[in-house]
Amino acid sequence: MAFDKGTELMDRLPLISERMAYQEFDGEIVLFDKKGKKTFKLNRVASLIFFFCDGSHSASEILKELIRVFPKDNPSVLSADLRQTLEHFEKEGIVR
Amino acid sequence: MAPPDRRYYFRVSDFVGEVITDDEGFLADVRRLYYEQAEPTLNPHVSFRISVDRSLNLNKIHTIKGIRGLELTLITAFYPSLLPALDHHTNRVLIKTLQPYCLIQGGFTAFQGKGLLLVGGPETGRPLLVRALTERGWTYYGDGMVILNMPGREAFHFPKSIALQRPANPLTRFREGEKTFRDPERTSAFYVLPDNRAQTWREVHPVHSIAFTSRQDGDGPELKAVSRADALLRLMENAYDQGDDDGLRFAYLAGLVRETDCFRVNIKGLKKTTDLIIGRIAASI
Repeated sequence: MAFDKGTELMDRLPLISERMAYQEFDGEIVLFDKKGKKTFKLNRVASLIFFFCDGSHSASEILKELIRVFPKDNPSVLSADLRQTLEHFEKEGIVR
Repeated sequence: MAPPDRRYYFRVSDFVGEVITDDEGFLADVRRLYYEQAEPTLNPHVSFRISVDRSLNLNKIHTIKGIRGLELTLITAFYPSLLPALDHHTNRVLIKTLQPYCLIQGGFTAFQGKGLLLVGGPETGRPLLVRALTERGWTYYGDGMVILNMPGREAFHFPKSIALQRPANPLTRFREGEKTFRDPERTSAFYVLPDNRAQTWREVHPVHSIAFTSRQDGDGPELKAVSRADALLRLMENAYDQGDDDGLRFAYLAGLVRETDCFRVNIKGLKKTTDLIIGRIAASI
C-alpha cells in the first residue's frame, strides 16, 4: 500500500498553500504558517522542491529537476528525499 | 474614591495608566517602576485603569481594566506583592494592543549609537548579559520584552526590568514588614532600573545587531555566525503571538535580519563575553 500511496504522491501537482508566507535567504527557505502560527526552515533540497510546488510541476517532474541540479547525488536517494519532503509538506499543510 | 494623592497617572509607550489605591506602598512601587508620569489633563484617554483596595482583607479581588473591554483580575492572596502582577498583566494588555509593533522576548542595549538586540529566554543567560553590558556603560533600553517599532528598525525604551531584578527573598526588604504566603524560593524581585537608561518610554533606538544568546559547554565564550534563515527562525520563536498575525511580523523580521549583523553568543563568563561583544560592536563603528 505504501508503494501505491507513494505512486499517487508522485503523480500529483503540488501547490503551495495560500496560508504559507515565505522568505528566501541564500537558497534556504523559511516558512511561516499564518493559520497554524508555525515557522519552518527548509534545507536546500527541500527549498528547491518548495519552489517547484507551483501547481504545474508533478512530483516526477520535480525529481527530474533535482537530478539535473544535483547530478552527483544518487537518484534513488533524491527520489526518497523528494517523497519524504512532499509527505512532510502535506502533513504540515505547506502544499495542497 | 481615593484622594488625589492616591492616584497616579503613568505612561507606557503610547499608553496611559491610572492607578487608584489606598495602599501607599503599592503606589510607591508603581511610581518607581512606571517612573514616567503622565499628565491626566493632557491625557484624557486612560488606557489602563487599575484599582486596588487592600484595606479590607488579603483575599479581596482587585481588577485591572484594560482598553477594548479587557478586564484583568488580581487576587491578592496569589500576589502578596502586587507589582509583579501589575507588571505581568500590563504586559499582557500591551501584547494584545500593540498591534503595529512587534514584541520579542529579549533585551536591548546600545553602545556608541549601535543598538544590540539580545534574543533568547532567561535560561540562556540573556538577562545577566544585559545587566553586565549596562554595568559597563551601555545604555539600557529594556529587558524581558522588547518592542520593535514596525516598519522601522527601532526598539522602544521599555524598561520592564524583569531581567534586572535581584533575587529577593526579600519581599521583607522589598516591602518592609509585609506578610506573605509566598514560598521564599518563589518570591518576586527587586526592580532595578539603571541610571544609564533611556530617558522616556517613547525613546527609540535603531537596531544594528542581533545576538542570539545560548549557554553551551565549552572552554570559553564565543561569538558565532548565524545564517539569516536561522536568525529569522530564532526571532520567530521568540516573537510574542499578538493574535492577529497575518504574516506582517514575519516579513518585518525577515527584513530586520537582512539588514543587521546577526550572531550567536555562547555565554561563558560575563566579563569575557561582554569583551567579545564590545569588540565586535566596536569593529563596526
